[in-house]
Amino acid sequence: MNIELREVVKAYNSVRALDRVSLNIAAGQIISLLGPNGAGKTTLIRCLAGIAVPDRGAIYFEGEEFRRDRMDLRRRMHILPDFPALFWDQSVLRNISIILRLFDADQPGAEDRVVELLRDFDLLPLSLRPVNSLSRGQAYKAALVALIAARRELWLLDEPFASGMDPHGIEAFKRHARAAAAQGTTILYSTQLLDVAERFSDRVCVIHKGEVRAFDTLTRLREGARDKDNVLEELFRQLREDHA
Amino acid sequence: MKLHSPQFERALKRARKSAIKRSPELKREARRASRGFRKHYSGSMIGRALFAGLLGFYAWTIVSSRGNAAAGLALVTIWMLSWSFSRAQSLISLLYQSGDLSALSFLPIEKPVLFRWELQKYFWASVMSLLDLIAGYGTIAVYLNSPAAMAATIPAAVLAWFTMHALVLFCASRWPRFPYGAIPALAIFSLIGLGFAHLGEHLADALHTFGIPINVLLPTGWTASVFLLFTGDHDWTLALLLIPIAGVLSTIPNSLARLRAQYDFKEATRPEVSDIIPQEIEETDIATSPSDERPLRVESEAVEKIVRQNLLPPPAPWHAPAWPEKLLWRWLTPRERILAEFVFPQKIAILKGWIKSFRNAGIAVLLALAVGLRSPGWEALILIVGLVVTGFGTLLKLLGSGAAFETVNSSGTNMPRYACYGIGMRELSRLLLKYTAIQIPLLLLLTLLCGGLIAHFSSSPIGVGLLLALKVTGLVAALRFISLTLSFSSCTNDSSRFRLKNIALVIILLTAIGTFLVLAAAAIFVPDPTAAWIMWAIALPNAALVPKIYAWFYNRNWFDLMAVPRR
Repeated sequence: MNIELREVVKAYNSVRALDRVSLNIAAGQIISLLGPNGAGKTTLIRCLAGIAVPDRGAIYFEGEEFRRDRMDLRRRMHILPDFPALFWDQSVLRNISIILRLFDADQPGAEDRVVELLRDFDLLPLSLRPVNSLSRGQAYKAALVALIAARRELWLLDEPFASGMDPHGIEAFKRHARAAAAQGTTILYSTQLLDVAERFSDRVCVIHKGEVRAFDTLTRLREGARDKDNVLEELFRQLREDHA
Repeated sequence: MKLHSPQFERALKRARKSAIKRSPELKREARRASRGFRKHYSGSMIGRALFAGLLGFYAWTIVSSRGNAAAGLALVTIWMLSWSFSRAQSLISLLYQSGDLSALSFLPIEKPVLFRWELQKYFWASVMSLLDLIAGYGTIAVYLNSPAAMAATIPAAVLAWFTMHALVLFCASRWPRFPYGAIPALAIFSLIGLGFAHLGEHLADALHTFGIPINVLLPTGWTASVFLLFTGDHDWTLALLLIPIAGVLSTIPNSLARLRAQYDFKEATRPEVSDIIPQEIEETDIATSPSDERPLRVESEAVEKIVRQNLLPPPAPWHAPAWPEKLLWRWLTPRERILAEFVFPQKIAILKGWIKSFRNAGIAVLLALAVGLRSPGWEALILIVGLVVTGFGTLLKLLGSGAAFETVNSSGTNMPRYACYGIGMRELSRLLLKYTAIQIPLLLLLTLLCGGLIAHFSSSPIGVGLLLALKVTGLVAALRFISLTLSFSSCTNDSSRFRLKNIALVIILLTAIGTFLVLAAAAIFVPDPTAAWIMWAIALPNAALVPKIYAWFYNRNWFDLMAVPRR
């Protein structure tokens, strides 16, 4: 899914969470959103999902302006907040079943896909347990399985690497995300982990005080950097210096 | 008592201030951050003060209409008795379930300190009940224009307040498992009930007749009985009640010692829950014989089989549905059926709830008949109370929204769960409107029954009661449109920003809802039947217009689908 943001402004009271943000994101890319706490990463994800509304500017999906009543566009994306919106007293199986149905992704063959995903995320033995009896990381994995199985064209994930998932789960997520991106899925996730962003993204978007400070591939970012091995760290250092 | 060090906090604030002063950048940041911060004021204090005012108003009304100070004081006595049950529940909840306990238990704080901390919170939260007493006693003193009573108001209120808390501590320390919370609702209801002219007269009569025995027999009335001496009643034997008051007050140290000794806060841990097995395969695949107990965990091999077979069964109505559920299922479109699973993920029981409503109405009728045999004239009162209680329960069923508007907390804001899964306002509204519409025949049956019975007991023509029932059915069903709109609104920040768009939305919505309420009231109370029916006919489409207006704003992206949690 191609995404375009044009001069998007979003303010909470007097604080500008997004300040004239313009981005062009091509389909099939993995984008990591980086920035200090309160920079506007989560707001950007929420605006893309139709949860928050830009005060000015517009968002386009596949060249069409996005509004909340564009259900056709909203059903092509899947947002996973930092705390997943699950039915906590229902089993993992039931949660996945409800989510797949909501996204009309319950065609024949979906069972095999889900079983494989559950196995991949070490959730198969836990799939009949109520979500509220699982650990935080396990619950997040359950939501991830539903997201991957629903096969939407745009994944929006808020801090997936701070979700309590174990290394095996993180590795499985990265593998499935790469496979989905190869098939044209656009993936946007926010993170504070620079080394993760360096290894697991096609483009990096650095936001600071609501403004986009950098949006490019790592290769391009490295070209202009002094410390080529730690390009993101250098970028963050620079942000702090500018700030001071 | 404070858990933190005020000196340290003051020093910290000073250090922060000087650090900010030294750096122009930090100064700018701090200014920016404080601009975004709005102080929140709680409306509960004002609400509580208004409630005390209401109690004073009712006490005044009773004393002025019956010329009997004891009747007004009896009202305060009953209210304080029910309030003491509520406080007992609060005390137990604070000691064992307070929100800060789990956090405090991680800190090196000794149990006696924790106990004192929670107890202190309890007393601070109870201060407002002193206002009830002052309002109750004060209005009576002012009405009687008695300087002695006016002077005695505050000491009497303080004494009554301590007596009430001595009782609370006594009960909570001896019977901590008693369901105290279940009782005050009745008192609140009877207080609201005083607003009904018919009910008010009966209650005022009862308080006039039994005022003195109520004050003498109920412990919360002992101080009121003593207060009576200052209002010009010179039955000095009432002063003897100071002895039991002193007795109750003397139990405070022992009750506190008991509570302290019993206080053993442990973090609640959930017992191990069993696997949730889909209904269809529960018996065949899991239990080997009917006598076997279901195991807590399913074997690993069986899990895969269950997942494969039951992940995506065809959408099916809820387990063992009755006719309203079946009818609803048939009426829903394929998409609405999917949404129904989302809104009611467990199961939906429409008929079961209605059977309970009819049963409650039946109990109210039987009770009214029984009371009528002994005290004629009281049947209608008992019936109205019973039917109003039944009506509130029915309304909750009729306007139920399942899990549709549940929110998830994410990065400091509450987002509606439906917004995370591409569910639109229109489709969700249609499902919930159908859910209510399917219950209208049951609602009509109940209101006709109630209307007929009330007309019979109040010696009015049955036809009037039935026509009124018809009107009420329409208006209650139309309330769904309003409740739906407010439910959507509750998950947004539509009214939290001072912008022209938001102000316009609030004004338009309030006008539409207000118009509906005025029309609904007119449809019931206007004496001219033709005019009343015209009002009724206008009120229904007016209610239907409310979600349409809201949807216009909603779809134009004029607000966010998230709200800052209330503090």
